[in-house]
Amino acid sequence: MSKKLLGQSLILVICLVLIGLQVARFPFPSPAIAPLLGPRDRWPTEMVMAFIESETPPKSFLEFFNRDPERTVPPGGNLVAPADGVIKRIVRRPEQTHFVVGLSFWDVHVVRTPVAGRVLKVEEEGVAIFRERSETDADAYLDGKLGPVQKVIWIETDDGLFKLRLITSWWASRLKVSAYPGKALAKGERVGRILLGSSVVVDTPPDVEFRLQAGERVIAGETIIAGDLP
Amino acid sequence: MKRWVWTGDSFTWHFIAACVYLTAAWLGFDLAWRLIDVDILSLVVGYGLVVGVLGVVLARLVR
Repeated sequence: MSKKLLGQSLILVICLVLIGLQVARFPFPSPAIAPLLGPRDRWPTEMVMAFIESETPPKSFLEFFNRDPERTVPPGGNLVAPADGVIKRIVRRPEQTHFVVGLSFWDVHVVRTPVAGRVLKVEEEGVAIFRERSETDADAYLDGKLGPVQKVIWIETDDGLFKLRLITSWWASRLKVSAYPGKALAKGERVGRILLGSSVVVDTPPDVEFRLQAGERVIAGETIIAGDLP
Repeated sequence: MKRWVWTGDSFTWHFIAACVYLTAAWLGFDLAWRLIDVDILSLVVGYGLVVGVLGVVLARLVR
């Protein structure tokens, strides 16, 4: 009889724990149902912000965030997307065009070169440099960010100079660039990683014709953003 | 004086089965609320009906 009592009590305790976890974690998902949810429901924005503030993200989120899937780079002389995310804007200027991709918490944060070429230099620009500039110069790709920090990879190609900007906020300030001056890059090759949020911008020569528009989703190294270079 | 003794009889098992069913239904509602994009009232009514009918059917089956 005692075994039966123990078994029945155990079942009831499990039920109580499951209900308790659900109530305690609300509005975030309980661990019992979290594995059944997609990334955006499993780790909602408020939850990710809490991870960042406490600097103690759970292992499951870290594994998800640090994923680095292989990509099939399309052949040809086209340009591919530098990052996973949504096209925020394409800013055309007389001297160059800024192609801005916004990354969300749930996107792959590995950055790839949109074009084959050779790395000329890797620049690091912090908040002080931005403040010295006029707003009109900075806001083209900063999208209203406060305290932006960026690393800029200069890529020399047969079709001109391209710059790849990895931008994050000063408080996040975690950018890793694996490319180095003199390195030959194949199109779609990994060049770095943004460890938290933000934007990737491609500065192209002004005559590049982009195929996509703001609001469309792109996949790094796979989505063709512009046809054959002129 | 009559002493209370835990028997773990059929009634207890039915009670436990009901607890398990309601727990699963509660977690299932949480899941449905996050996955299905409908207003909360429709979800409560629809889900309540499904859980209620299924509960009655299961109760009759195991009786």
